[in-house]
Amino acid sequence: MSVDYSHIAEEAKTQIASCQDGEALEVLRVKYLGRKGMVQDLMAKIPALAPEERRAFGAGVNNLKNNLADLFAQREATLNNSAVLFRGAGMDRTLPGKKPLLGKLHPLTQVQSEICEVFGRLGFKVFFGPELETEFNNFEALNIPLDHPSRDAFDTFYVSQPHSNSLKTTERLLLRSHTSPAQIRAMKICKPPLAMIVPGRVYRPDAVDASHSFMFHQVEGFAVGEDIRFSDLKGVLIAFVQEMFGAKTKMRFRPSFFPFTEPSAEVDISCFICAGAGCSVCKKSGWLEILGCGMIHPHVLRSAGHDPSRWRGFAFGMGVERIAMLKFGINDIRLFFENDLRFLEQF
Amino acid sequence: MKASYSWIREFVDIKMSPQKLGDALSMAGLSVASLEEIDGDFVYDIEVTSNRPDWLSIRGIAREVAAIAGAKLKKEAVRKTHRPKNRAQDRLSIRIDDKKGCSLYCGNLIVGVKVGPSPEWLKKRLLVLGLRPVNSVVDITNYCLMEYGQPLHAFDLDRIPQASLIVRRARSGEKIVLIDGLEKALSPQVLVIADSDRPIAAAGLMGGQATEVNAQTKNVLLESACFDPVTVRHGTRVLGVVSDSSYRFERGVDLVGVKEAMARATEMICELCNGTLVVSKQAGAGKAGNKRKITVSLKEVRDVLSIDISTLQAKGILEKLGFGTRLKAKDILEVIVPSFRKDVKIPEDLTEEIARIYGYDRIPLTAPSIKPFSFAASQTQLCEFRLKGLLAGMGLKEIITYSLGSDEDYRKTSLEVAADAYALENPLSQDYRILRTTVLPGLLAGVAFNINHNNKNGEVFEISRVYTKNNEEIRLGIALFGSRRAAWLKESCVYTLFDLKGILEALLDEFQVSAYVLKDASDWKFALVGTACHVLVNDQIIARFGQVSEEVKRNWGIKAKEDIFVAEVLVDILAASALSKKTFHGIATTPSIVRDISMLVPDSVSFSRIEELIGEKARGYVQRLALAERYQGIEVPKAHSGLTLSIEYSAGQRTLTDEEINPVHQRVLDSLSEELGLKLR
Repeated sequence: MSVDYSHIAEEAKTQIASCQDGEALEVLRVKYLGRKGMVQDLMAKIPALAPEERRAFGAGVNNLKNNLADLFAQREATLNNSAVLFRGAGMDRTLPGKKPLLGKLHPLTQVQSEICEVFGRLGFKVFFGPELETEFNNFEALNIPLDHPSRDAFDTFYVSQPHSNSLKTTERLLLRSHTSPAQIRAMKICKPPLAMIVPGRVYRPDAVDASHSFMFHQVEGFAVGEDIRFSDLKGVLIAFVQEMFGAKTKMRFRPSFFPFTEPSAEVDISCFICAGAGCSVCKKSGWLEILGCGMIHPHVLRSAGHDPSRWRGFAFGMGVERIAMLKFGINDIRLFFENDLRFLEQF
Repeated sequence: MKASYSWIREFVDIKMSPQKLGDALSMAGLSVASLEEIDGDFVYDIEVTSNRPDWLSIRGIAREVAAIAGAKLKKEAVRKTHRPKNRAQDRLSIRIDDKKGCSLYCGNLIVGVKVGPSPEWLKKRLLVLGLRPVNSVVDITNYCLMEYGQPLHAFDLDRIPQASLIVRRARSGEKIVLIDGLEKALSPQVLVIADSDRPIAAAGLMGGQATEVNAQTKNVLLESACFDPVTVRHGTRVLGVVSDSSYRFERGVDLVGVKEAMARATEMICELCNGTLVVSKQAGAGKAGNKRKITVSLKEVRDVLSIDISTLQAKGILEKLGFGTRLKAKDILEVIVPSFRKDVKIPEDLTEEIARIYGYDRIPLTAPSIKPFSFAASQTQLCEFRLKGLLAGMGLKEIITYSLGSDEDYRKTSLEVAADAYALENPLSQDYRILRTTVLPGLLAGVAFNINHNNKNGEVFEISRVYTKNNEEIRLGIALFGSRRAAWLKESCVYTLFDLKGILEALLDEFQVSAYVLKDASDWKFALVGTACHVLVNDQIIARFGQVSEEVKRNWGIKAKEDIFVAEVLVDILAASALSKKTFHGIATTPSIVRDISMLVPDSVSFSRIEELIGEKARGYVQRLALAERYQGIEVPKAHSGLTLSIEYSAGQRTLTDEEINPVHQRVLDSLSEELGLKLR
């Protein structure tokens, strides 16, 4: 013998939902869950079942009982709220509040500020360099020689000089292709020891598509002292990634090459989307590449007028768009610069 | 650079799985972008950084694998060294005219070659790496290119008159058809290999079609050379040609490898194509010079890496990578750099080598001792942060628009492109050519995008740089359009010019800039007639604002009828005019007296005139003057408006009495009606 009771749940659900007051709800409750109710009737059928069916049937009916009890409780709460408290005496406090209009900072500003704040707490000070840079600061001072393939990674917009300009330089001007030239400027203005963080716009002649933009943002950081070590760089960056991406974030350093650091490293963090299990964002590797770093190359210290036998430093740089895209799940870099309010209001 | 597992294992005996090896390579700096199983082999796609041309070869990668795995590197690839027969009838002459462009040129003359398809094993080696087999001779040059990282080229000797080669700069007007079939015009920037009268190859880039090896070729001239990286780089730019060869020459080839690869390719051609080496010629010194020696302090290495590596361990790593070492004193190592490691120049480079193989992941985490230092951000920068917070607090959304714009953007905005504007020499397109001198076009682009995407109401701002002859300035742009989001029960919130002006006033108040004056800016074509205004502080423009003209709206493709109000603030001037110090002025303990005045004002009298007059007549008493109401309508005559002002009088710390203020207020009333002819109600 088998007993089908699936219709009971459906029926009860409809009736409970359409119930408009407490009394009617109580009548329904007795009908289903009372001592002589329908659920109890089902229970009474257990002894008549084949022994192997009893266990599953009992569990099913018990489940039904619990579900119905939940439905009654929910409906009761709803009826209490709307009818008794808000529809009777006093004001209808379910009317929407008059929300003051809140503005929004651009998601890139939010991420950039967060990065700067984290490093601020670690003792770094914010410095800004110009976007219109000299070729020397953007390249030669950073150990990127002319006519070297290492320049390929830094395709650059060159800027023609208007007839009169206050820079009074005969040097070729360009739109900086990275924030690293700010290292040179900062170290010329401020003698070591120092620790700076430089946020700003940078430019590279990349055709615009979902993952490229000719204008984007970077944050550069560097510290120079008499006893700065490579291990300090790891220490500072683990503090940063765990504040930025969560305390469980893992970090790894991979050897890499940048002309302005030696040794150099690429930094990956454990993918916070799949927690390292492998997903499309981390290309199934479990790791996300987020920044490049290393010990400041002696050539760079010398370019800024400091003796590399006395001073040592580390430097790192990251792309703000990339971090914002990862953090917020944004899949198209162009969204940042279209300025659609329906985009901006989500952050 | 693609490399296959089986080929690597030909040079180093490792037991690591292909997957494990891939991870190990990545963690040593040979970033593996992908690992694919192809035809029973495993192929790594390795992103080789520009400092490591030695990794652009299977042998170079194998050397690295040996160091990582602590395995032995098998050195010999060439089994049989072929010596030229030097027969009397064979002739080959090589001359280098441009010694800077080419430091070494080796030519091997191999005769009696049978060109055909390569054996299957060779084809497969190339195919898994994505190289297309052509014929046995060409395949062998490609094979050796991959194995040694040394580009080789084979000419059909019978198509070179007198077998005489000259390495020289191309002459203007000379042309060549390259192997890919494209004709290229040459210039003296391009280094070529020429026969007695014409170029037959673009040196280091690509061979010419006329001397290409094909199935009919009998005699081969094999080239292995060292071309100057910068010269080759210029060549790629001038001709628009990038090849596996140019890629390696640009990064620098190893002089020792020039001869090794030549020996290997010669051996293969002799064996696989039945050739006989008859002449071996060399031009150029081709001396690698003295090997570079670097003295490195292991104490320094341990200190900067915070690791406790033994001298023996450090020596072991360097030697496995091909460096020679000699312990000069305790912890002082003299390192001899091999010819294939031109990137290693300073002790720090060796620190990286040691750290890389030791394992970056084994370096501990430490906290730096950042000593206090003094550095203050500029006022403008502080101002920028504050402004962003204030404006977001007022409900505005921050936008970021491109710093680059077009002449067309300015035309659409009815603005002139400033004569001193900077422009790009190499723009991506004319749309992004000019470094902006104002944020207005960007702001309008943002507004237009929104209105045209059915976001008809909004309030936005941008703070960013503009580039003028004074270098970089920070500007704030504000735009209000349509109406403010209405809360229920609220009447119209359609934006007006005064919403915008109010925001500016609030900002000026917050920065304690009180001495500002307004000046009509009718010459500002961008704005609707009669709405534009400059705000001046000490005769300097600090801001301008107005309503966007219909024409400008049309130009930007905005068809919606909603009004747009726009302001631009010169943040540097705001920062310079701001009072950074805030001072507490006490709280008045004496009561003030409030008097309201209602009056009918003709359009010819401005509010500021009334304000001024009241200030003058009640000098010392006016604490606050507020416009309580302004109305126009049926009960107000044309070209007039009804104003109700609320004046709060006080006498500072004295108690102000009616007796004292009455005559003052009367003076105000009298002057309003007598001097300005206003009708008081």
